[in-house]
Amino acid sequence: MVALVGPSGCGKTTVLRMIAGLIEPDAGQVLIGGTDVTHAPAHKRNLGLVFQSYALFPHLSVFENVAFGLRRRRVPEAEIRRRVPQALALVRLEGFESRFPRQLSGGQQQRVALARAVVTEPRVLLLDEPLSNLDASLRDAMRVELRRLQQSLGITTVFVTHDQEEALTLSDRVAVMRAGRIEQVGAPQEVYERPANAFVAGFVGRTNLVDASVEGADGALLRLSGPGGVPLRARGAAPPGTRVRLALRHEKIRLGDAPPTGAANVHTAEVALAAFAGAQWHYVLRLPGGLELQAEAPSDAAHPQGAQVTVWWTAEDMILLPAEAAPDA
Amino acid sequence: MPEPGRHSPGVHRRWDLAGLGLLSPLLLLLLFAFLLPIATLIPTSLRPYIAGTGIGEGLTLEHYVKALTDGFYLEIILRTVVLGLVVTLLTLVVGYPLAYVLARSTSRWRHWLMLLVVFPLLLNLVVRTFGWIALLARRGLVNQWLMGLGLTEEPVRLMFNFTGLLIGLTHIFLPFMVLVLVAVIQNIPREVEDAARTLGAGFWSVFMRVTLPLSVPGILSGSILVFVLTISALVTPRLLGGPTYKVMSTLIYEQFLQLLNWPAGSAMAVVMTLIVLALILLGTRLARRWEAQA
Repeated sequence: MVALVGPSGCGKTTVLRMIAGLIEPDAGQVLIGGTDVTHAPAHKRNLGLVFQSYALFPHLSVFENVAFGLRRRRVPEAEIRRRVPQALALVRLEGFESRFPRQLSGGQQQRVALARAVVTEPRVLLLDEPLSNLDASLRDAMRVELRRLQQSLGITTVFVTHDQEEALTLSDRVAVMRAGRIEQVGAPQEVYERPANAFVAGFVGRTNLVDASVEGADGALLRLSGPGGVPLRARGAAPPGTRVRLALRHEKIRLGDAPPTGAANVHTAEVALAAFAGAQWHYVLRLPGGLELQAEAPSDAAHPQGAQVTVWWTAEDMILLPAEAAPDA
Repeated sequence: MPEPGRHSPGVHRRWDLAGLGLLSPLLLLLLFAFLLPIATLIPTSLRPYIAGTGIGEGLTLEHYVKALTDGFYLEIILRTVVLGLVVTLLTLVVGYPLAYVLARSTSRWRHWLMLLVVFPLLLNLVVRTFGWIALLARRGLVNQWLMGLGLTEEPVRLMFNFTGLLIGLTHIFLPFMVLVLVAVIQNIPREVEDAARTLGAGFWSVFMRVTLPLSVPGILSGSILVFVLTISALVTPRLLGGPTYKVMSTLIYEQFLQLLNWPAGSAMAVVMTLIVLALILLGTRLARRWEAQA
């Protein structure tokens, strides 16, 4: 299961539509299972596509919506009568066969669209923002459902989302896109822990981006100077004097508790802002020298606004990013 | 998605009142300019006609009996209805592909094409009809070509008969059909067609199983519109049909203004109104059944 993730307008849906054969690419090839299908018409590709709007056939019942693809393949009626209820059972919509799309809720429509896409046993399942039209609680339930369904069917799935969390939880591989280009492809942990550049670091997860300059090295550790002369330590290699950019995840910053010996970055910071967000507190921390960092910590240990706290993180928590011309992340 | 049926009764009531308020100017206009005149036709149609004096005293059904039994009148009524049906069918067959292209095209010529469709509506009806006369007359352009090409020895009769009315009326009412259909086809989400394609439907299959069924409401309303316009058209049938080839509207015109037989004209007008009403009812019934099913 591959996720295409990126800000809106970055070309995720366009890529999906090219795979589906609804748009023809100006250049390049589309390969499915090693076969070039770049110029094959959409109806010959044997793909399942779930649209963001679901695009159910409003004039057909749920049964006929799901049966549509089977009928186009001239599957015998008896088999249709067997496979359609199977597909509906898979998405837990038994007994809805004779309803019409407009009589269904958004979540139910979404599941009909899913059943319609998988019933033909497609080679690839394509999902365009499958969860974005659902409300928050339904979205969480469907996310689990989708993952379960995809694993039980074992269909290669490409899905598009602008929600990085959705991409991380659902997929085996994540491709982060920006302005029509893929910035990084990798396993969710890999993309999260080792973002290739500032854009990926900023888009996937919540990240502080800190500009710093290299002062020297202590073995494998770099000595850096951040804004306002804050001393920083990060793992990596770069000649002294280079300007670099560091990524530091919000949740990697530890607050309050005693830093272990050998913690590379220990500072005393002022809590400039504390906001309660349910499971966590969100903080804005001001370090001496003026550097502001955002952090998250479990809600059991709250720090009031204005308090002075000890904060620390390891050298590994600071990810050295290649210098970038356009700091738009 | 908000569904009209799901509103609470209170919400419904308030909407109805607001709706009535907004509709009332139109309702008043319809009442005084349309319903009342038609209503006055009914008593007139029941009066006897006395040659030389006009409307006589007493009540009689003779005009209705004559309109519905006399071969002359029956033929005209039948001719009018058949003309309406054939014109409707022709505008549909010619108009649908045109509307489909207009609705689905992304070309920059789209707007020009649309203008071309609407353009005839901007010309005076009489002017357009005289245009057809110039083309279809015995020594008109079409006959000159046909004879010049050696396709016919004698000029073909294209006017003062069914063919002439058919050509003229189809041309005049085509834009109405196209405009209605364009609106409906544009409202069919393209993603629904795309979904059908990814499910293995080729162009033709998508059209027959998705696009066409979803444009049925537009086909019905466009057809009702063109049918009603056709059977009540007066100027074009009068000019292209001449004084002898009559349809209901020209007959009514003649009864009222030339023969001064107001009762007979009224009876014919009532019959025509009833035919139109019956068709509109049938059309909306069909549309409703279609939507209930879909």
